[in-house]
Amino acid sequence: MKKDEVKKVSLWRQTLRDLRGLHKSFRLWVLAATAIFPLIIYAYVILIGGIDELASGSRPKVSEEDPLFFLVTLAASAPFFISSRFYIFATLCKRTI
Amino acid sequence: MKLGFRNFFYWLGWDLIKWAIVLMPPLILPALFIVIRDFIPFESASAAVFVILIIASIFFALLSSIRLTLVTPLAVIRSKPVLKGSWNMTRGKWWRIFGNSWMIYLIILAYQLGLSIALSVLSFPASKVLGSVSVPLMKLFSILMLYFYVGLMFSVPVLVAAFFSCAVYRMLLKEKEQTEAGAIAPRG
Repeated sequence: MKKDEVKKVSLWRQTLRDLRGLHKSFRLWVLAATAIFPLIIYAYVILIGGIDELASGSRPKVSEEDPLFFLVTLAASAPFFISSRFYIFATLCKRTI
Repeated sequence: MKLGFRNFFYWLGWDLIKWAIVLMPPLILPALFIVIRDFIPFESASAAVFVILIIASIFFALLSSIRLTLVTPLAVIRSKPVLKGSWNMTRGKWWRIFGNSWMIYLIILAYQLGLSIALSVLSFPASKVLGSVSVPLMKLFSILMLYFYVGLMFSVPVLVAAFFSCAVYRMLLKEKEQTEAGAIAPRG
C-alpha cells in the first residue's frame, strides 16, 4: 500500500477493538445490563409466582401463560428497553465520535 | 457533546422511520400480491410474480438496511439531514459494510452458540439436583435460566450492533476527512 493512500480499517475488527475497551466502562456494562430489563421484570413476576406456588402448592395467581400479563409486561418494560438502547448509543457516540 | 431528551426523541423518530423504510416493502409487496393475484390469468405467471415481488422486497430491504446503517449515530447526535446523510456517506461502500456486518453476524452467531452450549451444560446437572429436592423448585430454576439465557441472547447483539454502527460512522467520517484533506488520494 502506498503511503499517500487512505488507510481503510476493517470495520468488524474496529468493532471488536471498541468492544475490547468496553470492560473499562462500568457505565456501559450497566447500560448493557439494562437491555435485558424487560426480561428481568418478566423473570421477577415468574419468581414471585413460583415462590407462591412453592409455599402454597397451588397454581400462582399470575402466570406467564396469561396473554394479558405478557402485554402488560411488554408495555411496562418497553420504555426501559428503548431508553437503554438510546443511552448505549449516546454513550458510544460521546466516546467514539 | 451534551445529549438530552431532544436527542432521545429525535433518535426514536428517525429510528422508527428507518425501520419503516427497511421493512415496509417486505410487508407491503406480499400484501399487494394477494390483491393482484385474482387479476393474473395463469397459475405459473402468478407464481412468477410472487417470486419476483419477494426477491425485489428482500433486495430493497438489504440495500436500504446497509445504506441506512448510519441513521442511528446521525440521529443521536442530531446531525441533519439524517436519511440523506446516511445514504450519501455509504455511497460506494455497500459491499464493504455488508461484508463487515456479516462478519459481525457470524461472531454473534458463534457467541449465541457458545452461550447455548455453556448454559445447557451448566443448567442440566443443576436442574437434575434441584429436581431430586423439589419439582416446583426445579421448574422455577428452569424458567429463570430460560429468561437469563434469552436476555443474554438478545442484549449482547444489541450492544454489538450499536458498536458496529458507531464504528462504521467513525471510520467513514475519518476516511472522508482524509480524502477531503486533498493531499491524500482515495484507494481503490
